[in-house]
Amino acid sequence: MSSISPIGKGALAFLTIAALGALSGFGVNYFGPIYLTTHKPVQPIAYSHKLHAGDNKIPCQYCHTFARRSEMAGVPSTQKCMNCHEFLGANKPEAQKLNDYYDNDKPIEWKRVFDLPDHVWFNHKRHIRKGVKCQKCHGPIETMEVVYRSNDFKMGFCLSCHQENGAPTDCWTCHT
Amino acid sequence: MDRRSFLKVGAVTASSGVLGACGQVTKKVIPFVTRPDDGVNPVDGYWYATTCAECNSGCGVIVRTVNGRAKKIEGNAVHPVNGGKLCAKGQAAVQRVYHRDRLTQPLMRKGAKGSGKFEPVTWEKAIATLGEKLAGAEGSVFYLNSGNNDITAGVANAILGKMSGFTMATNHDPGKESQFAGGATLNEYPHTPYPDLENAEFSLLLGADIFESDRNPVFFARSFGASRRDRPSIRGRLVYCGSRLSSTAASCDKWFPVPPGYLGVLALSIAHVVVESVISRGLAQSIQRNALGRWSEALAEYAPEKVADKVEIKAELIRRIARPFIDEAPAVAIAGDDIAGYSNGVEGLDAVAFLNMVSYEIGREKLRIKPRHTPVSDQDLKQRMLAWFGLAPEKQTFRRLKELVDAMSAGKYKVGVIHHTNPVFDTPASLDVKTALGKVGFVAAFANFMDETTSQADLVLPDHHWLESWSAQVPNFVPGVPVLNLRQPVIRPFNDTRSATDVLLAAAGKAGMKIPAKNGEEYIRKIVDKFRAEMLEIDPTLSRDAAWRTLLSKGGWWPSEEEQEPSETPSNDKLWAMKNRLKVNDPSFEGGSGFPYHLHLYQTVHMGRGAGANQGWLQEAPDPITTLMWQSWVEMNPATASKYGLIEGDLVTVTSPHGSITAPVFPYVGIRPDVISIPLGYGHTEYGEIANNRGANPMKLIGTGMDSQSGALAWRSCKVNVKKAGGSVVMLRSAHPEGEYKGEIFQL
Repeated sequence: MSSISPIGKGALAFLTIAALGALSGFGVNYFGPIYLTTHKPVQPIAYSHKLHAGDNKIPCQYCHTFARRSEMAGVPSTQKCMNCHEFLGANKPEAQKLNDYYDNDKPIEWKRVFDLPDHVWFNHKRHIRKGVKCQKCHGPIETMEVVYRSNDFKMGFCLSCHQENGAPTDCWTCHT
Repeated sequence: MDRRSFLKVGAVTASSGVLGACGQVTKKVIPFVTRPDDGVNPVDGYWYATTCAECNSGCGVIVRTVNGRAKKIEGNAVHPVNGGKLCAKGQAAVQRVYHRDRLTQPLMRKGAKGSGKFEPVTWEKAIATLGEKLAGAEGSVFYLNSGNNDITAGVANAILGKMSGFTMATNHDPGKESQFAGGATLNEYPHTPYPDLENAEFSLLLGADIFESDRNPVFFARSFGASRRDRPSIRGRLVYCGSRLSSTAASCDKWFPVPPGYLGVLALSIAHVVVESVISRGLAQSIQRNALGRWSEALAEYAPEKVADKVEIKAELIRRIARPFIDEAPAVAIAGDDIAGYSNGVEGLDAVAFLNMVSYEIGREKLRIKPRHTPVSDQDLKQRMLAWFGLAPEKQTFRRLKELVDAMSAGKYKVGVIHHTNPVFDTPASLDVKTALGKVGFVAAFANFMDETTSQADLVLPDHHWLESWSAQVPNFVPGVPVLNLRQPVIRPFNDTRSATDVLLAAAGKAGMKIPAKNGEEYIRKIVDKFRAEMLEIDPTLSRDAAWRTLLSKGGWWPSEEEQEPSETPSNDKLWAMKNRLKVNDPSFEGGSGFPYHLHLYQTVHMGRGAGANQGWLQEAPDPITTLMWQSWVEMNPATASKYGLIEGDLVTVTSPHGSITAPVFPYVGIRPDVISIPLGYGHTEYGEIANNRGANPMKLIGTGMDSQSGALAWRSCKVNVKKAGGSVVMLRSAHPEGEYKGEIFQL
């Protein structure tokens, strides 16, 4: 190291720290709030999965109907909510909110809880058809008043399950 | 600052920079309010049939929509015009829907007229203003569009046509207008043979850039593919004559660089060879002999030996080109811009039509020509179709546009309505539409974007994108069968826009005028109801709604392949009794001795006249010949360029009697040394960041000279001079100009 001049050392240290800074910036974004298990946003309507899926035992795929049909599970249309709420809970403030959205032809802007980085390709349909339970990845949704991200969804999480079940572990299975 | 604190600051700056650059991850999930039809899959989406409006060709398209957004546009496989194919402009149309420069609300002029300063107003106010102006403008209203034959024009005609002194004019593509006029000048013969490239074994393209800018590039490109590949033992041969090796010419087997303006002469010379051959073989019957003798006399001065010098093709070669027109195999000559764009345009078009007719009759006698569609380009059919929308079958030519502009300059018009056309940019600058618009009392413009013309308006009315609106249209180039194109909204409007048809109807209604329907959809349904009996595809037992849905799901109405009965073969006698002029005068050119080069303006397949210049996808698409992108260029033969010491990228000033522009040089071997070529569509000044100041607009160079017979713009009859401007630029290009093989010549 003695051959490096003091100015050279300074530059090296600066570059290292700058690179670390850049990496941390990258990290905050890719492993930012939405990717933390504590991610528990306040939704426009205080919808309770505990009440619907837990107490009333409505099957997940009654609302998330696309899960078995496509890559995405999909969030139900407001119209679908109204199938029941036309008649139920009209006196409750949260259901009233729902009514307002529907009457004003305005979509509900739900805050996203579960998301994967863009470099990961995930397909709901395949997992559902294989018989993987929703809870395996999404956690005990039927007990949650407010949905939160119950798993970290890091690569190890996916891989361990793929290995247990003999699913492919080639890179391009997910990074396609 | 010591080193430690400097490093700390550096680290923070670096990380925050990266943080900012990464942007945001998706944070919201927004579902439908009302679930679309059962079975809609959010990922796979739905395909809806509609009609492309990126140009006036009227290609049928299908659009994939996912979660209420248009994702992909493809050709409609059952459509008679494009048969499942689509050009780059159509493919790129989705980019226009979600374009950042789209007009999102009505705008009212704030500053001085033409200042381009606007303030947003509500739709109610905009519609009330338009209604008020229309009602108070009796006898002095004009409606100007691009000649797209859609229901907006029909509605405008229905509302305003009742006023005395109403003028309807179109701002056609140069070249195309004369094409449409051309077929109709041969009044003595009922029809001009349809350019059935698909079934021809030999096609002679006389300056016809049919795969890039002519009547309908998609239709002809499809026919070309069929002529080359679809027949087991026949491979269609094509020969191109014209002053520049266009991308169409590059697809042909041979190119003859004929001097500008002499293609009509060449056509008559070929006709001469054909007629002489029929006489010498003794094929003609008595009635025909009279005609043949008359023609032979008229064509005497076009004998190959006499015109060889003029057209710069050896007499022997002209005879060889003529041979397929005499032989049994179907041959067709197709005339294009490089015939139509001169002062003798119509004469040239007539000459080509004559050549086709004579050759067709010879072939027909031998029952060798078997076209798929009606073998005629039926002008009556087009007029009948236009009448569906209440459009008058008038010939809309440049002359009419010029008359309109002159009247505007004279202050004759109180109100003008402009619908999706940009004459300030794409007509010759010497016509000076900008100044003329300034003298119109009130100009309302329907547009998707602010452009050179819209910025001159008093009221800007943002129209729906064609993927968002109801409309119907008649294709500009009729493919031999009647076609009614329907357009339906495949997505919800992205902005606070309204359909031009609806706004016109609402404004007229507000002003107490009589309106033909409440809105565009109703107007189209009325048209469909009227023609219900004629519409063969529709089961008569279907209800009104079911019939309507059937039409929408198909994209329009046209007879199915089996129902396209071959029309009656044109009468023999009419042809033989015809007394045609059979004369093509020498072309006249603007510019004297100081202007040694012919100016050859042309349209590339993706840029056209420049409406797509604000789309990154189209700017990024390389020109098929030069592979240049994001700029305009001046094509010169390398011999001409070297005379001025110019190499690729050197800036050059091109001067004509009307103006001058400066652009970089692109030396190109596929152009005659006496011709300078510049693509249209570049050089916008008020069309958004992507289009502005990118290249130069060559419409500044040409005058308003016309073909005196048809009234079409003689847009290639201008001569220019060039001068080295000094300086050079790097030409952005996607590949080696001579292709992967870098100019190696392959002998097959």
